[in-house]
Amino acid sequence: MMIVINVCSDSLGYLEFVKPVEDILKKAKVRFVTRCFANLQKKDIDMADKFIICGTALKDFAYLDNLDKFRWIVKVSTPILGICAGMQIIGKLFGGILLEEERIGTYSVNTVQRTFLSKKDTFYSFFLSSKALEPNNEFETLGESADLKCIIKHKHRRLYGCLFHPEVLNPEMITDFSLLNNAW
Amino acid sequence: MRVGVLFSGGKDSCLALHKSMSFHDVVCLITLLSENNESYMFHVPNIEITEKQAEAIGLPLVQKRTSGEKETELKDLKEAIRTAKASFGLEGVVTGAVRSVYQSTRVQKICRQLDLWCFNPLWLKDEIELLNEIVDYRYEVVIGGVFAFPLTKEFLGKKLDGEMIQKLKRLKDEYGLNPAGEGGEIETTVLDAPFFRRKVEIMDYDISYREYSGVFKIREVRLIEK
Repeated sequence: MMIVINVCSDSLGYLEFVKPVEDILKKAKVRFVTRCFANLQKKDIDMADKFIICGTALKDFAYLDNLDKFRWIVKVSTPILGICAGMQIIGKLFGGILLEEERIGTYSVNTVQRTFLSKKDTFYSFFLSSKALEPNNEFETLGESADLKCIIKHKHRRLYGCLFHPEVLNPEMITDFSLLNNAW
Repeated sequence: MRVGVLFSGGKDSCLALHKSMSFHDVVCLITLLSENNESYMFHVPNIEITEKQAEAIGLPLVQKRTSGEKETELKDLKEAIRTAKASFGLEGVVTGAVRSVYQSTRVQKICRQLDLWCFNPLWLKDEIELLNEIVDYRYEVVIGGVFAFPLTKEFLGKKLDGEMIQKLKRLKDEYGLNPAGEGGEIETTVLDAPFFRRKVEIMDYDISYREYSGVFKIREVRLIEK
């Protein structure tokens, strides 16, 4: 069972950033439950076979004020995909640095290394972010947009992050993540 | 949070307003009156009746005219939102954007420049789910404009109901038409919804139509008790 994690501090944010991901999973007939990050229980973490951490509104930084609630990420071996705020959370927990860098709209992404998140050499994605992540050396960069590291993966674990919102222009990335096996 | 809703009087902005009312304090509506029929940003047919719709809903309306030229309309939108922020103490703006990355990107940027939250509660919502929600809530919606093949004159002024949704769904399957008109193929006008205190009644209208493009122009309305 996949767990979709809602990091939005506002109910309207859920409709914009979480429900679209849920709709993609429903269409792909993926079994999932959604949990608010603040209410995630140990039993949820233990039973999950994958996690998606969704993004949130540009002015919403509740997730950064509550990083302690995400410490479990460092301990589990379950595949996790962090979208925008989700990528920032993953990177920050491993010692990465957040930089002020606004990117709003559709931008081209160049693949550095192929994975389910970067199957084409170049593609377009929708960004809605005011921060960039400089991950530490435990992560490798799989995709860049200009100089911005926008797809990352932990070198030894199945922790993925994308700074853009795949639910907008690249929904197949979400279904591919749901089908992820040990091959990647 | 005190929010203002970008309001065209059509089904999407009304549904976005409806959802916002459940979670926030909606303090005003904001309307751009575009003189450009080809505007990428703003709904045009029957935009003049937003004043009556706002009155029916019971919310103040911030209106601004725009020539509708590509960059000018963005400056005018920013100005309208700035005015609403100053007059009503807005902390956030809500839009009815569903699929348009163009619209969404521009409103997000304006909100960021004005230090406002931006919400898009219908974002990426399935078109049929959206139409069904509107019918389930018993909105009274008329088709105010059609702008694509194979939409005929017969659609103009028709009510959005279950039968109409089925018809639009068939056109989606046969011709790839977006049933909710997200590409501007169909424009709508809302006459009543659960949050309307009074109902809008059409007193006079005319229809113009030529080659899959037409408008059900509402000339005169009045508000009636529900």
